[in-house]
Amino acid sequence: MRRTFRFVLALAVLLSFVALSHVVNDRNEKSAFAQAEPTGKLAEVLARGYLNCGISAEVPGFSYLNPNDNTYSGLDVDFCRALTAAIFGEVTDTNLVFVSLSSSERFPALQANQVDVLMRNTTWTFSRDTDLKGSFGPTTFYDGQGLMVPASLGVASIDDLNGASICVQTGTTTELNITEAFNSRGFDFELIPFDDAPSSIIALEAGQCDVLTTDKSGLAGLRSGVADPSLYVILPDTLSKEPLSPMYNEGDDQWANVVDWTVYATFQAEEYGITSANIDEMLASEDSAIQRFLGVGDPFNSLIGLSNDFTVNIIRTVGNYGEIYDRNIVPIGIPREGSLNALWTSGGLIYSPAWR
Amino acid sequence: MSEKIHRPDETFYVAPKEPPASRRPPALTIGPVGWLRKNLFSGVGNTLMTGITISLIVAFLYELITWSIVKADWNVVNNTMRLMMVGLYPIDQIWRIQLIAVLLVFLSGLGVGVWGGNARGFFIISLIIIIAALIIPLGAERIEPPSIRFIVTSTDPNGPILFVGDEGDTVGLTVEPIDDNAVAKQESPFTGFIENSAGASSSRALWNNAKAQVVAGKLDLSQYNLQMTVQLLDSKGKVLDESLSTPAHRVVNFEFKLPANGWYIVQVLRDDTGDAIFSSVDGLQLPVAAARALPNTGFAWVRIDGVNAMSAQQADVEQRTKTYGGLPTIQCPSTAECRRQLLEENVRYEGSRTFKAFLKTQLDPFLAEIIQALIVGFVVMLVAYSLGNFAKQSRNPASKKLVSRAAIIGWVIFFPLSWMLLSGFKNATTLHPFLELPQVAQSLWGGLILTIVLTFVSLTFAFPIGILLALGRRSKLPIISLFCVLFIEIVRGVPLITILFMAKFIVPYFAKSLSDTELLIRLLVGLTLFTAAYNAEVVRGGLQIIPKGQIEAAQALGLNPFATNVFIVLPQALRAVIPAIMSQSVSLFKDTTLVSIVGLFEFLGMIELIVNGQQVYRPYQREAYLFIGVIYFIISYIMSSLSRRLEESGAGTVRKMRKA
Amino acid sequence: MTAQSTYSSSDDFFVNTADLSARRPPPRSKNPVVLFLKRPIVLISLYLAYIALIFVKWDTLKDWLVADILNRPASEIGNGLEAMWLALWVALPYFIFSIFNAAKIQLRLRIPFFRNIDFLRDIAQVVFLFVVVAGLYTLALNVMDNTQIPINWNVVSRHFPVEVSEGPDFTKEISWLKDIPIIGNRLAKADVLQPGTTTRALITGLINTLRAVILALVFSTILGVLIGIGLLSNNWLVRNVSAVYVEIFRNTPLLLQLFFIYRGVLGILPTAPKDAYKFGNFYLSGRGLNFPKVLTTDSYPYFLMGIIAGLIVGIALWRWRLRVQDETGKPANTLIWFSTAFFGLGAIGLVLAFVTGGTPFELENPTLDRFNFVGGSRWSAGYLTLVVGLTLFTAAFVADIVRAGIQSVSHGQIEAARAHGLTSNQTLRLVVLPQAMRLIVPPLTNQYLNLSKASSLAISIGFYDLFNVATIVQNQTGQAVALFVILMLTYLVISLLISLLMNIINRSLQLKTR
Repeated sequence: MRRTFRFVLALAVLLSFVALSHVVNDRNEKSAFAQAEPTGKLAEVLARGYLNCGISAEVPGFSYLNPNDNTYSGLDVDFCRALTAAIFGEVTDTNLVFVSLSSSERFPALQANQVDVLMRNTTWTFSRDTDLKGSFGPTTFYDGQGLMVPASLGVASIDDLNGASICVQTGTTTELNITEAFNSRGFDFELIPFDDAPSSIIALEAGQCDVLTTDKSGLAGLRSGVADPSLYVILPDTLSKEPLSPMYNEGDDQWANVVDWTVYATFQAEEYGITSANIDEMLASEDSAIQRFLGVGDPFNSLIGLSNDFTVNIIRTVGNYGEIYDRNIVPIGIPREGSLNALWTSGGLIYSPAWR
Repeated sequence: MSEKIHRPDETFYVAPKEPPASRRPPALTIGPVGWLRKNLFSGVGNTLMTGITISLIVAFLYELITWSIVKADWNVVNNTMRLMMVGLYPIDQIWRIQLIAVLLVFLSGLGVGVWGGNARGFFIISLIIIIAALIIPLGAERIEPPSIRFIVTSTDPNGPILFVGDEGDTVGLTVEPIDDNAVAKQESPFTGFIENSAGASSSRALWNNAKAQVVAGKLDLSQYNLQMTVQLLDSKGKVLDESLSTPAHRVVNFEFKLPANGWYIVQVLRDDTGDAIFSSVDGLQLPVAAARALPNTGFAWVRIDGVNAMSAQQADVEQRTKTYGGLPTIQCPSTAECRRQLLEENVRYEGSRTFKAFLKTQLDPFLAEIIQALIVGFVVMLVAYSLGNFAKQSRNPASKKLVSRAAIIGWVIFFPLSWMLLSGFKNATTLHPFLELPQVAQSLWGGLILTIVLTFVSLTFAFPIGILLALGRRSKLPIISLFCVLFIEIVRGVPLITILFMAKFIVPYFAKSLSDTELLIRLLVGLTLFTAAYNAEVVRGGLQIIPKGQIEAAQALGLNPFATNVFIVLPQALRAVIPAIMSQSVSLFKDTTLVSIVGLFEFLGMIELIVNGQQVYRPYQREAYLFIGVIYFIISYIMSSLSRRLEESGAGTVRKMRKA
Repeated sequence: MTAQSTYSSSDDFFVNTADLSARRPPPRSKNPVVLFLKRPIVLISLYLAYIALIFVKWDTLKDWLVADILNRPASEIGNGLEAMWLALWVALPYFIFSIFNAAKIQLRLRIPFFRNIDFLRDIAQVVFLFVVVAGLYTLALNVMDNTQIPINWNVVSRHFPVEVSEGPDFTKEISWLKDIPIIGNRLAKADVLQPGTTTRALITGLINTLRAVILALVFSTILGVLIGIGLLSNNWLVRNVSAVYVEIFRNTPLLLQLFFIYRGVLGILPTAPKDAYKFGNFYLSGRGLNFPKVLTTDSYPYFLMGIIAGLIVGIALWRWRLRVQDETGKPANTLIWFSTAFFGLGAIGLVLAFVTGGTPFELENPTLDRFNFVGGSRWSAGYLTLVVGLTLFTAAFVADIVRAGIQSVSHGQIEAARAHGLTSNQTLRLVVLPQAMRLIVPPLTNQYLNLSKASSLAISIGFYDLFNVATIVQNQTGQAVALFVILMLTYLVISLLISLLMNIINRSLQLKTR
């Protein structure tokens, strides 16, 4: 009886470890799908079967996770979807994984290859391009750093803020810029750091700081979420240029092309007037430029390592840049007309290189 | 030498049951009065301390209880129960977690029955709690739901308000024009629910705006001459009743008995232009009131009585759709202002809550959520306990052995089985259809279940590693001993959060293949190493108290060092340190909260996400923290009282001291 | 009867040479050089010198491996192979040593090496050393290869671009550096200590940590002792309230308590400075506690001299009175003598100060500016939360330790003391507490170490302690490895210092027996 018990126990332990190894190793199994052309990171993503996209999940308008129904929405989220559609053809439940990263962990996560691309309203700066060994894609949103104060303080501009307490997120360019701005004016100030955006707006609402500073788009998003937005005013000062761009690791040119031209596809689509609503009509268009752009005819687009109609997949999934903007940024209150984010034909900076 | 010579026919002196009055202790030293005098009022200093302590306690408890019932809003707990318990786990796969919980309760009951003491008291108390949790909702049913208010102004009338009702419910609709400026200056002039959703045109925002303007003197509410029609419609758009409010006839109210189960709509129509606010319901044109002559300005509240605010939990939404059908479709100019349901998340209780309102709106939903889990847990535990107890007390020793071995095998299988259940398999559909368990990414695990996974897995792996480290530290081989000492001292000398940060940022660099490892696995490794170092110290203490004679006797018997350790030293040492290891486990359970700083959303992290991330819950941080404080307290207290019981039963070093 | 020259028995295969050496002791060398070399400290330092030599000559060794032995280009040599090569060289002396010993034993006692337990143990250690060194070095090499950013230890002298709003201002020069003898000038010019560098910011973070930890240590000890005594009180109410306090604070996580205090308690205080609660010149608001700063004036040195003189004379008098009591048995009245000396001389110092220049101290009051208070000292909300949270949490543990310590003193001691006529107070002070302290100090050390490590939770409430500053640096520069090494070393040093201090106290409390 004793021996039987020990035998059964040993068998149970053995079986459970065998079963466990299957579960733990499952993630590293390669799927059967492989492409001949892709190399490096693109090949890795295709082999893996899903894209790891680094986002914030806390910034309304850019990447926001709604815990009630587990849905992601935002400009960066839509670009993640565009990239997935470009690589895999469409976005399914399993081929796009969002990795939520705080501002302090985003760069280490990218460097350690835990995410393939960082779509996390990251500012394109000189030091990040050189020091952090990353590369940036085309700017998806031209922004600037702003300040938000309660209207009751009666502050008109940054020059009235001597001695103020400032809420800021750690690990961001805003931290550096605000220090510089205040030091250059010779002001006293106190920095109160937070790891994530919602904590900083809570502190501003509670009155623990007088000023909240981040990108102006972030300010608009955070303000849209408070009970009474009219209590807060965004100061007219713009402290810096904040071109928000996707970021990926240096050294993989094919991956760089894939990300860059996915973004450019949305710009070009808006320039040609192609939307997710009229894509089918546009596929039958006579215009040779549009035909080439949509991959009708010669296998021109597959030079990048993706399928020839990857632009069609992108537009079907998320639409063109204007649609992405309207869906995500307009509800948080930043109009497009007259800003830097308008199409170049309307005086903005959204410009795709020639598609030929 | 005895004075009395005992004669056979004399009886012995037997003391009377009640001592005579002269021999009783003074009345003030016995009974409750005596207890009070001895314990609370025995001296001047003591009396003073008692006085101060009682007044402090009474003040504190009074504040706490009135705050909990009257001012606090516990809906942050009620509405987010699923998030707090299982995190972002897919809702249709939650049955797997429930299965794991049931198995855990069963195994615990079995263990207590076979090895533990008498747990009758525990079951009686649990039964009492469950009965109370069943009775309270029955009473709460009969309480009137508090009223719900929506604001109407001339520029911002509120959209159609949808709610569900049962046949026979009486719904009351009242229009309350605010024409007294003093009302606006009060802190909270209403009691009941006011719409609290985010957005500049929500009732709360508009009301705050108006209050500010009245206080600043820019708005005069007595100039009310708002006119509107309030209508009650059914889900097909048919007007069931309506009434008109005019400057002459300001306050309007009517009651209506609902004819059938289903969705109902309250609609407010402005009258000056004759426009209905929204154009159609299910394609039907809504009736429009005729144009009136007077201009339409002002401020009024529409009050709805007799309707419960609805829950937004997915399970409740599904239940509602099944019972009452889907939402009636309404076409509106803009989606944002269109549909308003009486959701608990969108309304906030104003004013001081009465106890009845507290029962109805907060305690009742909370009990409704947990009662099913409580009953199932209780029944399963009872069954398992009786099984174990029956086996323990049966006359056949073989059956006790069988059950106890089944329990051990059950526990051993339980951990890998629950891990498999939680994470699932990648190619689920290719397996036998019975085993279809779609994979759930570890980044979706969260809440209390993640805390428990972290604690259990760390404990399980840290225990053998700790023993090895302790033995290594005491080894005579200098290099092994040096290495173990260095490892233990370094890991114990740095804060846990440093180790977790290292595990997160630096471990992926150790090998290319490691960069894809899930964050959960990395943090588990960090936690395990940390706990192993502490366990090693504890086990070392146990190893030190083994008398040298034991080892010498083992050597005399011819056992090699390995056998000595495994058969003689370790069993005694481990039995001696079990209480210390249990207290270390409690410590680990509390330390899992640090994982929330590094990005995993376990119990505390989930609360932070809910309370920080969703605007509606931001004012309710204290309620959320108190709730999880209570949960942590209960679980830690159970674990430490278990260890105390183990210690008293002789598992610890106390046994040695008693025998000596 | 006589020892056999060879020992062989069929039921003892592995032979412990120590037993055998006891029967036939080995010849002891009288050569003083050999005796000197056999001392452990000499052996260890020789070994360390050898390791240093390896690191200096590492490139030559690697070339030898690459060119001569393996004959492959250097880039093809994997990290594992390189690490094993290093481990081979590190373990080599020990290996040679063990073979040498085994050979000696074989010659002398004719025990083959595969039956020599000492030799087997040595080989096991050599293998262990090889595996550990190879493993660690592989990991280190992998880390250096896989990080996109090369590990740059110069990160400590880089400019730190973010403001740290609490603690000493790291953008100012340290004025007293030059006054240090001998190395002062070199230190003042050192790159890492210039204003604005990362090192200075880390030092500010460290000072913030120490400020919080020391204050929390003191307060938690006081509160813990009070509650511990409350746990043993005769008063049923006080006893149970203390027990409830201990249970509540021991069974809830510290992070939760910190959040509760920061958001729930401090959060309900008014946050705008103009609404702050005012107690004299103390202002309490949701942003922190502002209180007057104590500044010393020119006449302060006189006062200080008076105090120091009072201390020295007082302590000397104290010891003299104790000696008098030992020799003559007269009551010592130490406290009276000490107080007289201390306060008397202190008063003289004060009078001198007044005569020469006015008051020795002056207060700088906080004044309300537009956004915050200016002037005066400030404890920020984060600092207050950390100190209060750590105090309350640790006090619960200290209370339990104190209770266990006092209860461990056997009741017979108390009865004997009462029998001798000592009052309750004297019993506690002279008999119970000295004995209880012996049991209290070791677990108390543990709690102090836990407190100093728990201060790193300040990152979650936004207080600029050492850990928080280090993560800020890591965010901005990406040098995770360098910073974490610095961080861990600093915490190890702090833990070591606390353990050392408590060990000294522990040793002074031990029974001085013959």
